[in-house]
Amino acid sequence: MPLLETRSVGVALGDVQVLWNASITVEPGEIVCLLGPNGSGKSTLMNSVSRLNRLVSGEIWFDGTAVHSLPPHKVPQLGVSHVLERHRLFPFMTVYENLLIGAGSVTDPAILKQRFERVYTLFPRLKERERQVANSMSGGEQQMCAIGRGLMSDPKLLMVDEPFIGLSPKFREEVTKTIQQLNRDGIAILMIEQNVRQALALSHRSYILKAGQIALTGRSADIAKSPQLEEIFFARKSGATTSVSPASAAH
Amino acid sequence: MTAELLLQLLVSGLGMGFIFALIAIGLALIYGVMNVVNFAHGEFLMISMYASVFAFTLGGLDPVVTLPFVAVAMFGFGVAVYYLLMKRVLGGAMHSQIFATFGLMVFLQAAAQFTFGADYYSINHSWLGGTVRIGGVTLPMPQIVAAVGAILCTACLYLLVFRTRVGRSLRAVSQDRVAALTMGIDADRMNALAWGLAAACIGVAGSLLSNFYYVFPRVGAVFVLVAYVTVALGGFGSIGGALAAGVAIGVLQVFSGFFMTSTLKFVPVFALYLLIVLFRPTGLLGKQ
Ligand SMILES: Nc1ncnc2c1ncn2[C@@H]1O[C@H](COP(=O)(O)OP(=O)(O)O)[C@@H](O)[C@H]1O
Ligand SMILES: [Mg+2]
Repeated sequence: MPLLETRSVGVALGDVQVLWNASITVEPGEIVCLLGPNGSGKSTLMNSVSRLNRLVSGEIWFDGTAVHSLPPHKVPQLGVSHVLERHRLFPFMTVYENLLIGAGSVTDPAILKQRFERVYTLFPRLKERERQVANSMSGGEQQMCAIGRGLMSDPKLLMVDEPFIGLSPKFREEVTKTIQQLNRDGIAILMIEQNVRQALALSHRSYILKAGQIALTGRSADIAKSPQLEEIFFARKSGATTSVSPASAAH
Repeated sequence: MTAELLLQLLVSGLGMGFIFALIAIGLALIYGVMNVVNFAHGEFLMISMYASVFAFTLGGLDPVVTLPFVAVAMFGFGVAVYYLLMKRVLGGAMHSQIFATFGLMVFLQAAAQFTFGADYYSINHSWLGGTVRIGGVTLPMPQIVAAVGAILCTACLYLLVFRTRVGRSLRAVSQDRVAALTMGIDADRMNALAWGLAAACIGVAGSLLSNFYYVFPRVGAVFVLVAYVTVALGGFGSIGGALAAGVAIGVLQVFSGFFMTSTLKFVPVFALYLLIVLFRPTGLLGKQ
């Protein structure tokens, strides 16, 4: 059974439908990428899992629970963590407070300590900056803090929306390694990334969106070789969903 | 002009300032969490003052005694206003929210006028009669109690917002509502809490004021105009800013009332406001 499954999800923002018939799965232990040109609906699809927008059709299931009938603040409790686009830290709170809020309803000091230690081991820089106000840090540090905050709830699935945006090559590499490390630790990852080649190299499977629909899906290694890839990102005409290899060929 | 007189003005200005701050903090809290200006804020004050005055004239209970009850009742009133009115217009356009609180203001004022008439009511012979002399400064007892009460209440609120878990959630919603939702914070409950706390602060302010200020249907306008300036001066949504600005305005208006005529005492306050927003449109402390 997949950890996360969206079934024919349609989303409207305001009165305008921007996503149609989007079905994706994330299996335990996978890194899955959502790719596509700007405005193709990647964030909209990820936000629908966090119930941040209005579903007009479809269902969303996580670990046996019907997410589509939950209010947004109940979703994290299932084990879903969402690092929003542009990190969205609480700007006037310290790094420590941001992380603490990430821990959600956990109050047991022993568990909290363990969670902080895990984040500080991944990002030692955050420990140095513990008492610093979030918006006084560099973009890269804020992104790290956002990922750290996302980990504080000890999620089964970490969803990250464009973690590399505006990062220096050094930070990109650090964040990439962290994502791989987390995946080895058993956390499933769903991520959005602009850089297609890098994303395909990092992930097991990918979905490529175009104009609010899934245009291509399969193993990332196969997609990387697919002639349709260039077409989707640069050609004008759109087609039905194609699969370069069976979508169920995942681990 | 003696040092004693100066000190006396300062102390009574501080006392008034904390009451202004208490009123303004409620406005700042609602604005910070929901981005809504509560135009009925002054009417919340009016209700609290009527409650205290009638508890005294009908039940013989001094505002010092009824204060906690008024505060709790006002908390409930604030929460009810949120769920019954504000929540329904939240998804709508900005102006529907403005009209909702504006309409509530008109409704509450008219309801007070209808029920109590336009007469002024006040508390005579409160339990806190007389004056107190502290180091050569003479101050009326009700003002001392009001100042101390307002300081205590502000301190409690400050601790709640900045030192507790629920306060952290409240600040999280005010700083980034969507991010707060993804952290499992129930933003809707935080909205209700902001309305409840704001109204409870007003309940405390109204009780304290009722000991030396008369109440009538439009009394809210007197104080709330200053509260808007306080909130704008402190930076919209900033609790610390509202506190600082409230105290500063309290002192300023007492001194200008003394050196000019008392009818003009708010002129320097509004002048200061215009001056500051001219150079710092986001107020002194901005949103935090
Ligand atoms: N608040 C909004 N109201 C209406 N349309 C929106 C809103 N936000 C984004 N959109 C539109 O929705 C589409 C999908 O946006 P998004 O999911 O953010 O794209 P991506 O993350 O792939 O860049 C875009 O065409 C965008 O213009
Ligand atoms: Mg996006």
